[in-house]
Amino acid sequence: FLGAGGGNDIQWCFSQVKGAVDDDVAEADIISTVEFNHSGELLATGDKGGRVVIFQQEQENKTQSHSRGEYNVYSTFQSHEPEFDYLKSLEIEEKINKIRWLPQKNAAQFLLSTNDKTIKLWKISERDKRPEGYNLKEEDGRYRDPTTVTTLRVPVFRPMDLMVEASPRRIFANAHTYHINSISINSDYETYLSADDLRINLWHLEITDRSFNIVDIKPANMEELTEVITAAEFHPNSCSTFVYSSSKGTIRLCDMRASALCDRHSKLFEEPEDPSNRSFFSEIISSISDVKFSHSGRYMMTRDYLSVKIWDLNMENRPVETYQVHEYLRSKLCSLYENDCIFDKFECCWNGSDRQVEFLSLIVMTGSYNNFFRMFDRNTKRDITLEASRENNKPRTVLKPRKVCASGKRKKDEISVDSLDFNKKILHTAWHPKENIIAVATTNNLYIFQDKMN
Amino acid sequence: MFMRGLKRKCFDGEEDIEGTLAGIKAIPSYNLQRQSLLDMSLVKLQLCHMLVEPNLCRSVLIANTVRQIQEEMTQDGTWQMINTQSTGQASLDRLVSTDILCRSSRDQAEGKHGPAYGTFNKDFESDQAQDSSETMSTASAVQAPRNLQSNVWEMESPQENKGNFQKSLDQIFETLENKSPNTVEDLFSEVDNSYYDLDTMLTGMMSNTKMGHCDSLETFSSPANTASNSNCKSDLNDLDHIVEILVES
Repeated sequence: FLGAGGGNDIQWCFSQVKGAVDDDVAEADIISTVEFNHSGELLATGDKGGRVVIFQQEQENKTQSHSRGEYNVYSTFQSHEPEFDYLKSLEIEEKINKIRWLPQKNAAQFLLSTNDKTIKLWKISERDKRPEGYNLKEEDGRYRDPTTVTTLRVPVFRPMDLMVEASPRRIFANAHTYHINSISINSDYETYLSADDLRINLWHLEITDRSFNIVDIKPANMEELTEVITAAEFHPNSCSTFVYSSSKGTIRLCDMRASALCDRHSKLFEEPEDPSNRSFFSEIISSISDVKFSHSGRYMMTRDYLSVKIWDLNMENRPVETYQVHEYLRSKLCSLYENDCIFDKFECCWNGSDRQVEFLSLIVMTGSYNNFFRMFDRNTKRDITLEASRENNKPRTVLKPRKVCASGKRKKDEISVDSLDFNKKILHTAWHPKENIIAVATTNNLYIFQDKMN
Repeated sequence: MFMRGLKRKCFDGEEDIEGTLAGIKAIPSYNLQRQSLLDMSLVKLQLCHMLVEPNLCRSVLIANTVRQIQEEMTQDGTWQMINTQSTGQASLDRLVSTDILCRSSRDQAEGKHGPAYGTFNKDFESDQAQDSSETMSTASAVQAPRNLQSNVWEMESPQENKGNFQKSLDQIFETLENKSPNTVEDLFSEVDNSYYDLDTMLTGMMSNTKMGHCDSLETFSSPANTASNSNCKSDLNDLDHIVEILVES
C-alpha cells in the first residue's frame, strides 16, 4: 500500500538519468514538460528546442525481479519549429509547454503537444514488417515494365527492423492570441481544452478549423487587466466539468452545460488571505502555477510558489490540506523577486494508483530549488526532501533525505538557504500511473527513480 | 543566490547617514525599501517591453505590485522621496536591501521606523529649483520646493496620481497587446528616441511627464515635458551614477 505509514513508506532509489552530462546546458535541451502515458510504458519529454523524446519501458525481465524495466529511447521527433509572427514582429517559441497522451485505442499511440500558439496531435506507430513481392514494382520501388510481368503473386509481409514513426495527424492552430499554458483531454476522449493567459478553447480532436471559446477573461480595456489564467484541467470523470486557476490564487470550476461561454463559474475556490502574512509579494506567491485533479475527481491539488494545497470540491472557502514546500524562502521573497525566481512555475503531481487500491490519491510530489523535490504523504503527514543529482548514481541505492537549514546552527548534512542553487530548479515531475516510478526533470536531465523492491 | 537581475547594493544606513543626519542611525526604513521595490518593479516592467514577447502573467503580477505600492504610498500620504545621502556622494543605492518588505505586516508595524527623512543634497535642490517651475505648471497646488519630490506627488491629487499611474500602466498593457511592431517605440513615443540605450531610456523615462508612474523615479529631474528633456539630461549628469546603479550598466 502506497506510503500507508509505518514501515510501508516508499524508499526511493536512483534508477536512470537521461541527458547530457556537462554543466554547460544548451538552451534547446532544457526540458519543459514530462508526461507518462496511460499505461506507464511510455514516458515523453518536451524541450525548449521543440523536440519530443519518448522513452519506452523494457518489458519486465522475469528473472530480474529486483528491478523494473528500464526506460530507453523509443522515438525522437521535432514537434514544433520556431515561427515568426509577421504581424507583430515577434518570434513564436518552439518550446513545448505541455504534452498530454491520449488513451490507447489501437496499435498506435497518440499524444497532443503544444507550444505557445499551436497544438499538434502526433501519431506514434511502429513498423516491424514490410510487404515484399509486389507485382508492378521492384523491391527498390521502381516500376517494372508491364510487359515483363508474366505471373501474378500475392505480396507478403516480411519482418524488418523496428521503426518508430511519428507523424502529425492534426494541427490545431490560430486559436490563441496569448500563450498556451495548458491542454487537457476530456474524459469523453473526443474533445480537449487548451488554455492561454486569457482564454480557454474547446476542440474536437477530429476538427482543426474550429474551436469553441468557453472562457474569456479578457477585459474590454486591457488597462483593466489584473488577473490571468494560469492552468486548466478537465475533471477526470465528468465530461462537462473543468477547472481553471488564476494568478490571484483562485480556482474556478465551470460546467459547460450551464452556458456556452463559461464566464460565470459554478464554484470559486479561494482561501482568504492571512492578514498577518501580508506583504507586497502576497499576490505573486499566491499565483497558482499548476492544478491537478485527484484520480477520483473528488479533490484537486494546486501549487503556488511556496505551497501545495489540496481542495475538496465540495468546499470552496479553504483548502482541506496545505503543505509547505519551502517555507524558508518566505523571508527571501525580495531577492527572489529581484532575480525573477518568484515567477517560476512549479508543477505538482499525484502518486499513481496502486495495484491493490485503485484511484487513491495519497501522495503529492512537487519540485523545488537546488534540484530538490518534495513528497507529502497525506495519511501520515510525513514529508521528505530528495535530490536529483548524479552523485546518487548507483542503481538501487536508496536516496538520502535532504534537509534545508532555515536559520540557526546548521547541522551536518544540512544545507543552508543561502547555499541553495536557484539555477537548479525542478519544475516538472511525473509519477507512473500504476507503479512507484517517478520521472524528475532537472534543467536538462531526466531522472528516473523507483521504489526499492524487496 | 542571485543569478540575474539587477545587482543591488545593500544599503548600510549607519555609515552613510551618520555624516549628514547627525545622530539618526537607521537601517533602511520601510519607506526606503518600499521605494526600492517600486523602482525595481518599474524597471522590470520596462525591461519586459524590450523582450520579444513578454510573459503576460509576470507582467500583470509586477504591475499589480506597483499598483499596490502606489496605493499604499498614496494612502499613508507619507510619500517622500528617499534620499539619504551625504553631499558629495552620489545618492547611491536606492535599491536597498528590502528585507523588511519580506516580513509580515505585523512585524513591520513593530519594526517600522518613523517617516522617512526627505532631505536632498544641495545639488539636487538646485536642479529641482530650476525645474520646479515647470512642475508647478502642471499642478493645482503649489508648495515649497524643499521636498520637491513629495510635492510632485502631493500636488496631484491621489485621484490624479492614480490617473497618471493608470495611464502609464495602460500604455504598458497596450504594448503587451503588441498592437504594432514598434511597441516599445509607441510606449516611449513622447520620450527622446535614444531609448535603445538603456541608460538614456531610463533617463528619458525619468523626465517624461506622461509617464506618471515615473514620478517616483524623478528624484533627480522634474516631470517636465519632453521639450525640456535635453535640459534635464544635462542636469542629470551628476546623476548618471544612479542610473548606472539602477541598470547595472
